[in-house]
Amino acid sequence: MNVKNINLEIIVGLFMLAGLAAFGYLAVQLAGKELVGGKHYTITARFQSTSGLIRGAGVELAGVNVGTVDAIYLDKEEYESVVVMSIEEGVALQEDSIASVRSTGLIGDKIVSLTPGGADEILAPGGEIIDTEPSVSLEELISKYIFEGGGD
Amino acid sequence: MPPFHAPLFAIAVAFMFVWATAAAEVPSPSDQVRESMDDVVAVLKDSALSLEDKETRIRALVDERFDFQAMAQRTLGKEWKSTSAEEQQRFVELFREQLARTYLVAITTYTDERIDIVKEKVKDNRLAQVNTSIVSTDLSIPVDYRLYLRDDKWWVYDVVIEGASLVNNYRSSYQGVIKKQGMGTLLAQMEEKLN
Repeated sequence: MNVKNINLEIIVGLFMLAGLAAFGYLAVQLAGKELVGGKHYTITARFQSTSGLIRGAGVELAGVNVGTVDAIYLDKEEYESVVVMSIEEGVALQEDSIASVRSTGLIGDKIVSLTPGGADEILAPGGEIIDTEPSVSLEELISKYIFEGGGD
Repeated sequence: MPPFHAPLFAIAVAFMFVWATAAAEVPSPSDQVRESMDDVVAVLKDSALSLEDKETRIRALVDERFDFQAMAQRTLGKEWKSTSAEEQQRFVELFREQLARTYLVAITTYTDERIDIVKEKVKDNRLAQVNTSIVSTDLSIPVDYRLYLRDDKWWVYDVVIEGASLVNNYRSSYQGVIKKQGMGTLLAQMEEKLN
């Protein structure tokens, strides 16, 4: 094998690697995950219902993704849904922030949507958002309409 | 007779006192909410009163339980701090009037609905949520009150109807107007809506 061929093969090999790297970056970007994990802190919130919300769902503030849902579990004494979230460091949440389970579209994926408050107290890592709005289930609304009428 | 351990006995009694008073410290939010609701229902049922009288009395009762300033402040969020004291006051008044107009309509449509207290939750001895249900023959509406404790009295700072928070609802609309057009415009819009 002469030198020219080796060079060619090296160049082809490098192109391959560059292509794979670009593909990998694209795949990660599309998935919405960070390639290099930024710093996050934990916040919890309790909901009457988080129907449709799953682990890995996004947490949004002003429509911008600021975190992820790490875990959802049932409080067996209060029969509430407890959601544990990772929020980006640097995104401060006031004590009177409100967390709601919302859909990204009419029947889209569920996310946790945060509206900021104005209180002076900021939630510390591990803190809890007190004021929450539960997930609205379309079936429940339909059932309500069927059984309780369309209102006056 | 077994020996009487005086020091141990003293500690046990002291402990019981501390525990008992700690448990009795926080007044029951349900009781206070129940009281307010009963008072309002009594006014609604009083056929001797004119609609105007009913409205006046109910407004007074509501003022005794709802902290409209806290509610208004929460809807403005960060914008509250950058609002002048004068505008703050005007905003609270307009906000209160807005809610009054919306909900006092119910005076004329009240037909013996029952209000049940479904659940109570107290957190850190200073925040509470009382879940109620307005029940009539063909429907029941969940209405939850969020309260904070001040000087042994529970004050409402948010109402959640069918899972929708009143504060959150107004937060998006008010803050949107303030950011795009300023507080002055918001106040003007609110005034216009009331007249």
